[in-house]
Amino acid sequence: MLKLSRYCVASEPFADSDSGHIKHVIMSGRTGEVRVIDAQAWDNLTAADEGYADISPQTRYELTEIEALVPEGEDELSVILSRNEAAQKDSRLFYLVIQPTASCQLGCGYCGQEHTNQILDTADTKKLVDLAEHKLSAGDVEVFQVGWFGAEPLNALKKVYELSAKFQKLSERHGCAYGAKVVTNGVKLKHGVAARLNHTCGVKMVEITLDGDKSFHDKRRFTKKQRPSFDKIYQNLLAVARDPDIDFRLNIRCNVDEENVDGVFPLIERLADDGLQDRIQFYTAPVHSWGNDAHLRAVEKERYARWEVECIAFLVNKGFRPSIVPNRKDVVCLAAMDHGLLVDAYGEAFDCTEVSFVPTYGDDNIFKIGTMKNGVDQGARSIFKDYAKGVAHGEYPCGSCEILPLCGGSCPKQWNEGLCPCPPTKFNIRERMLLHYCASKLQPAG
Amino acid sequence: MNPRKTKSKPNGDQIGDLIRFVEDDLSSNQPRTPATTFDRELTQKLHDMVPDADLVHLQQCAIRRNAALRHAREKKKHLSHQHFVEVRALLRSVPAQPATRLTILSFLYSAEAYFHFKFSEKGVAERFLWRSLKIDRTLQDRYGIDPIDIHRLQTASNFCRMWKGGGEFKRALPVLLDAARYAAGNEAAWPFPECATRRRIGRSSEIWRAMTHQLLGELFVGLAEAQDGVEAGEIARFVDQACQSSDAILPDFIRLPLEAKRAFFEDDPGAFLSRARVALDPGYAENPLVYFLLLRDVGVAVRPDSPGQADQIMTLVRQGSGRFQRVPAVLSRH
Repeated sequence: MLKLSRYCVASEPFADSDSGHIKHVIMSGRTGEVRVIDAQAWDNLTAADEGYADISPQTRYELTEIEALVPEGEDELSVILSRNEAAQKDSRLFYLVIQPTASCQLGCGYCGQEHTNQILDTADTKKLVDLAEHKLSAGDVEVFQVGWFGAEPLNALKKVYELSAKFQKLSERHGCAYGAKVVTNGVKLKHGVAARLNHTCGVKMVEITLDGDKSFHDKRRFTKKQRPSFDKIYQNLLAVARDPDIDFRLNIRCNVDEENVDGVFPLIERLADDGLQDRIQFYTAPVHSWGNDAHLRAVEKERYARWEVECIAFLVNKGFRPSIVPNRKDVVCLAAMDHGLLVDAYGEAFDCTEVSFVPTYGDDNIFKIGTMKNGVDQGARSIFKDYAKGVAHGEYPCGSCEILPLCGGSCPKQWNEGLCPCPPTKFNIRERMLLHYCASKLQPAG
Repeated sequence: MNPRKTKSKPNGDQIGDLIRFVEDDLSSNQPRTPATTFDRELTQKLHDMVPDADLVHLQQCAIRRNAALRHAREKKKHLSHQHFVEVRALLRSVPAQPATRLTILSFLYSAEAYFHFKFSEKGVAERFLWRSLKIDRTLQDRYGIDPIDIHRLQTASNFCRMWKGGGEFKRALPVLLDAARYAAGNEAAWPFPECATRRRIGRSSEIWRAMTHQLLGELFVGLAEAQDGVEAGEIARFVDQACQSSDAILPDFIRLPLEAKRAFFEDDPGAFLSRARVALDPGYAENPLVYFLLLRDVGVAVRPDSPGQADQIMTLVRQGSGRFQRVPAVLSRH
């Protein structure tokens, strides 16, 4: 018979003003589907040990379809891990993250990277193109996606332009779709640069970090010469966002800890006042360890989670359309991708975006899985494998967590390091679901 | 094609009349949808004979099987395989009535056949389709689950899709024709005699007519795909024989478009136009696929003498094709 999935989460009951009934929002983590269900039906579900005889066949079918109800004898953790593994093997995406330079203008206090003027040299550049050619010619890649990452990638613009042209040619030759994204501090994202990235470099998404409104941002994201950066970045943002000919997606990321948590809402207000609701996606992320102690000044997790819900609600009220409930996540990050790789400005290769340029990991970085010069050892990819083994053997709490299908375990490297990278969603999923329902009831403006 | 016959040129008025008829037909008619579905009939039948718990079991397996199929269509081989593994695990772990288990198994084999076909293991695919057919025979003969006959025809269609995909038109097209005749009520026409059933059932309801039209549509797609290929001559002979065969008493809705097609193969535009006009007369709603494929042939046939009207016809074909959720590739090639 059936049982309620351990990954089915229900909100607190609420009175639905449309029908006058008490209801719950439920989310099936196994499929990422959200439904609204009468409280009585939910009570029957949670109390049921008689084969769900009191539930209507229609409701039963719908709940079975979204895998909120599952076969009684099924080992759900095993199913989730097997599906994740299958999805990883099925991926036809070659995701290549490139740090074209180790330099960055900013000296953010929470950054764990060591910045230098190193730029990917000619020999390594050639090897990198050869590596991409080899990957694409194998025939099992349909999408080639490049992530320009830092340090600050726009400090090596020539390299970005040069490689973008080569990668696009390669993709065309092998019949692959090509797309790129740039994660930048925004200082050099002048209008002309953005236009070129968009129109000739295949850039489909740009992510800029702003850590709150001016006064908060400038206290933490200052230049290495202690100069403020907000005004420059914000001017660039406005120029890019207001040009209808630049059509890449614009994300604003806001890293939050105790120091700047009060500066986030003013930033959102400013973005809203400037009319950017339809042009940008805004999200916050708690500051975490980057091979350093940054996590020690993070907002305590449960408090952050409560604050985050308020922040999302504020965004909705201001007319933004933030992502409220998470989707099913079967491939958690680069480390879990068979065809995922990061290459840094020294020509060193990694299966994680958070280990290169980090002195804590040694002069000869312990996470290195190869170099452009000597090749990449696929067998050395261990970050995700170690984590997945740990979950299956019950070494990490993920195995018994109700949101595992939604967060995919979050950062495997942090688990392996003995940290607990549980996302805020773990603590606010129920509130997010209610908010999702409320937001769905709002009439679109105009 | 036939050197003994004299070509007749199409008459411009005749073409104009046909164009007006099609324009009027397209603007005033919609395709029919059957009032009942195979799923509903099968579920009702099973509901009458197995316990409620078995129906839940069937649903669970169907949901995972459909997910497996969806992933296979998206070329996600491992995810698809994983979902099939889950269905097999359910089958092993949950006790159910034999009829329930066999129903699940039959549909599972059909779906797994698609998986193997999709990932280029045609031998395995064919073997699984046979298994499904054999189980369906048991379900019908021993358990009296008559709606499963539709699934048997769907399996016949799946065999043909696989053969057509491999260029085996000579093998696929006769089976499609026989399957359509069987669906139209001719018991003797069942295309796989080694898997024939003993039970005789009535096939007069709307659902059978819909199945017949589906198979006829697939037959005409196959004809259109093959008519310009290396086997064109043999395909033309097959159509000729199908029209002449004394044991093939064809209902009008099969016979008329086939006779039109025969005239097309005989390279006699005038005669073809007359036949096509008759075949199209029941209207677009009867069988949109056959209708537009015939219309496309009309466009091809009249082009040398009436290029302007041929263009008009091809425009109608293009407009009409837009009504399909998925336009068959052969229809979008002009």
